[in-house]
Amino acid sequence: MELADGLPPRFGRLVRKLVTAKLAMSAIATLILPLTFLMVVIFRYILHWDLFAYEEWLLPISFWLYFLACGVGSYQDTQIRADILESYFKSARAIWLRRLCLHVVETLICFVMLYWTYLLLDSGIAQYPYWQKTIALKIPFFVAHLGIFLGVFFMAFYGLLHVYVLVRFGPQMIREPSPVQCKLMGEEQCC
Amino acid sequence: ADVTLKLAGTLPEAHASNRVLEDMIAEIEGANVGIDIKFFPAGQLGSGEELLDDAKFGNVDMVHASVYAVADPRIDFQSLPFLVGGADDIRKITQNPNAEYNKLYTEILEQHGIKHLSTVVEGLIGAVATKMPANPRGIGNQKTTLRVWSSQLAKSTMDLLGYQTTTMNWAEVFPAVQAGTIDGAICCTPELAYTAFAASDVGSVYLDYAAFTENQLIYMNGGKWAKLSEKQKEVIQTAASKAARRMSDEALERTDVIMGKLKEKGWEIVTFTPEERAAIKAVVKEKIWPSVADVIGQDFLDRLSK
Amino acid sequence: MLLGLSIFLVVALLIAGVAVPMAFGGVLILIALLGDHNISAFMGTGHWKMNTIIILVIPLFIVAGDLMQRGKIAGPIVAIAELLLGRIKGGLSGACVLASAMFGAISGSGAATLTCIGSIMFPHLRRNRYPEGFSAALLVCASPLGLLIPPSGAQLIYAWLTQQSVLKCFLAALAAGLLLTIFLIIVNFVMLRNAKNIELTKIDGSPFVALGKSTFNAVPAILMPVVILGGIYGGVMTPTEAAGVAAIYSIPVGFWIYKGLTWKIFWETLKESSVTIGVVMVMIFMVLIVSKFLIFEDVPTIARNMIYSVSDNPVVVLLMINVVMILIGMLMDDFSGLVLSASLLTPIAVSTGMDPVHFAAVLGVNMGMGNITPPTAPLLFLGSRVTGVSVQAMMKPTLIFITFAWLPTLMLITYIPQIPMFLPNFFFE
Ligand code: NA
Ligand code: NA
Repeated sequence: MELADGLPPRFGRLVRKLVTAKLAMSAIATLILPLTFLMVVIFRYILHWDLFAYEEWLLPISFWLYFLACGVGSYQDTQIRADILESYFKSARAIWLRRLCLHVVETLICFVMLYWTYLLLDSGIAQYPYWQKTIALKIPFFVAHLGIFLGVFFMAFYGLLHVYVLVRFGPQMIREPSPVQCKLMGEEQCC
Repeated sequence: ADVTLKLAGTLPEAHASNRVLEDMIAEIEGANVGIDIKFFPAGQLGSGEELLDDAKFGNVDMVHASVYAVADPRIDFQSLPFLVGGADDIRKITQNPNAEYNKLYTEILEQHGIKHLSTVVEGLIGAVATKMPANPRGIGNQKTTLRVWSSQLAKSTMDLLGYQTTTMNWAEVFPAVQAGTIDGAICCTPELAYTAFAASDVGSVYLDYAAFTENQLIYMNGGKWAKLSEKQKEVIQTAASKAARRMSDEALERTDVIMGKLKEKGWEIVTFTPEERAAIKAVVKEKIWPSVADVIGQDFLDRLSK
Repeated sequence: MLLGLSIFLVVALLIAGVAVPMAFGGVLILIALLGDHNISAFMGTGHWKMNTIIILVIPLFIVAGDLMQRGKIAGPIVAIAELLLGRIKGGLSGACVLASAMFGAISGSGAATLTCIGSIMFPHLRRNRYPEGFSAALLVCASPLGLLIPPSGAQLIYAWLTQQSVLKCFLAALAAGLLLTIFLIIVNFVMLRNAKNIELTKIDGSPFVALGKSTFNAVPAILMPVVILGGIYGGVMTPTEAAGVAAIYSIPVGFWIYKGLTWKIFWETLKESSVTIGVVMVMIFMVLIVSKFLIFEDVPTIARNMIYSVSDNPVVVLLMINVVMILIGMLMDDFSGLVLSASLLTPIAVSTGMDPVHFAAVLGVNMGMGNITPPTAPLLFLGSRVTGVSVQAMMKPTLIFITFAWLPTLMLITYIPQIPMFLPNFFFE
């Protein structure tokens, strides 16, 4: 089951669309990274020309990639975590309770992170007119910071949705394999 | 002590300026005006760009590092090619807090809540290369690829001098020069050319363009500065000025020795007569300087052109 | 005090199962509450630390590894390894180690090596009746060769964090990788000496013809390390650029030569890679922030004093550094562990007179091992997913490989500097 399946249908459709959009953007950015380096090499070696200051636009793109994709990671619940204690939770109720606790803690932390990211944006804007900009192309740092903000926002948002779905369906939603079993079987069979 | 100031630096542990910094700390603490200093050397807390931000936020109080135009495009005045002519100009800057050069730093940084204490000019920057360019003393196709840092000023200057330029992260420059990915870099004071390249037997030519300056500033968080007593301010300001002067003077003294060491390594050193340099400077000043008027402001440019 | 609480909190959160970036976010909350810092700078710090081209090697190696796996590039490499070792008892599993080492020369990560080699080799091992738990464990334990044998994302990041020459670090880690390969193959043969039922690989016709044919098939794959390493050493591109070129190179090879990629699979791969990249990079982002604010708390000095209070004998100090790194490796994944160890432990290692390039190899072995030591063992879980064997069944053989192959490698690399430093000195002195 995907997270959106546990939401009210219209809201679920919206959430699903947002995830699709983020994935499409991230996938394109993922392709842009290596393509840029190929271009750098080709430009230098074959065209004897410089892709001047390419890192100034490539790095903001990569920050959007990291954080939007990490938001999707929260949606899919594929954040990296230690699953040492997982096997000790056997009953549906225990598994459900553990998942609920983890998502509540993670979501609370995400909201604090979101507040810190808001402070980052705010302190950046407050420096007007002397915004931090890249030296050559004058791309404001705000661009990358905004990507970070949106990513953390979605991490917090999806965390909240996980909590909502867990509370809405209660322990009986734990009929499916646990995330560890998911890993064992491959994600496809799971979701 | 009444206050503990967190001081951060970026130069590698073995760099001579760190000894001067240690003496500066001893001088400030020894003045018994209630100041302790906690020193985080060698980039432990991050790059120069990052430290300026930390000083603005007040997470570090005092910094010895380069400042960059990311914080404010006007800071790029320091990258004006051939702005500082030689040892005499360097002394004028480091010994006189009221030099126009220092006043610009002070004015710009003040708008970011930073108190400028002193300027270190570590030396003048030339190019390191693994082969002799086609036209080293003139302007024209050099048939040589040099790495430039991400500054339009540096790039257009080197383009004008006839080099093919390429952008590359500093961390990758050494292996790239070594492997021949690039022929060299406009990067280095003679000292850095020696420690970063010649000491590892990479490179064979030093072009003493002296086109740009290698600067560090000593500066403080403005709020923290304002809270100090007059006596404390005086102690810090004196010590910081003295340290900057000493760092610059010692670096100048080392330059001759270093040039000798480069020659010992078998390097060819391209020097320029005053006339040759003046000829290059004239072209660069005419073609490049006006292009930055909209970045650093016509007003600043006029003040520097005097 | 704050340091002690921070360590306690992060360990508690990680063991409880809180996701790594949020666990470090939790520590940062503690630092915000108890420390004297302007919290507006927190997230900006992460941005500053990661605002460099060098760190892009991590996403580049992730997407390159995924494309190689879907593009079935590893097939012919495995075939060669099988032909070389496959016809003796225990040879097929030995070939897994060899194939992982060979594949290490094209991939930059352990995960890519495990998915690429494991997904091909495991069915062969099962068909020839090798014990399943043993086979899966061996594949898992050999996969960190992908990050020890250059190119290596981990070594690039270490070189960047500690301002060392990338090529020297590559060469130091290469020695560790080769040593580990030998140890793993030996332990493999010893463990299988009494195994029954194992079937030997049969080859019809002349083995030389078969070897020639596989080598021919492997040419596009073998060209990859030639392009990458040749490109780096030959001066065509920097290591970061090479990581990008490798990812692009695997696209046409995967589409038209080994035919594993279709447009649909390609798009799916990009999407999956992007999520992996996001999850990994944001985790590193948070770890970097916490590392910096722990430096404010004087962690390097405290750690150094603690270690030196036990003994100032370099042998003991290095042993303790290794113990600390093994503990870090047990709790964290390779990249976040690497970032933490490189920033906090390198100065201590250097204070014993160790060359930072030598430490690159020591750190590399530790972080490779951290990937397979429980409780946090991403490669163990990935291996379980790739092979379908439970982690429980892999546990005992894994511990044997750690004890008799990994730990001896670690000790030799730590205490005999000539091994890791031979190649860097040979090429650079
Ligand atoms: Na590798
Ligand atoms: Na581990």
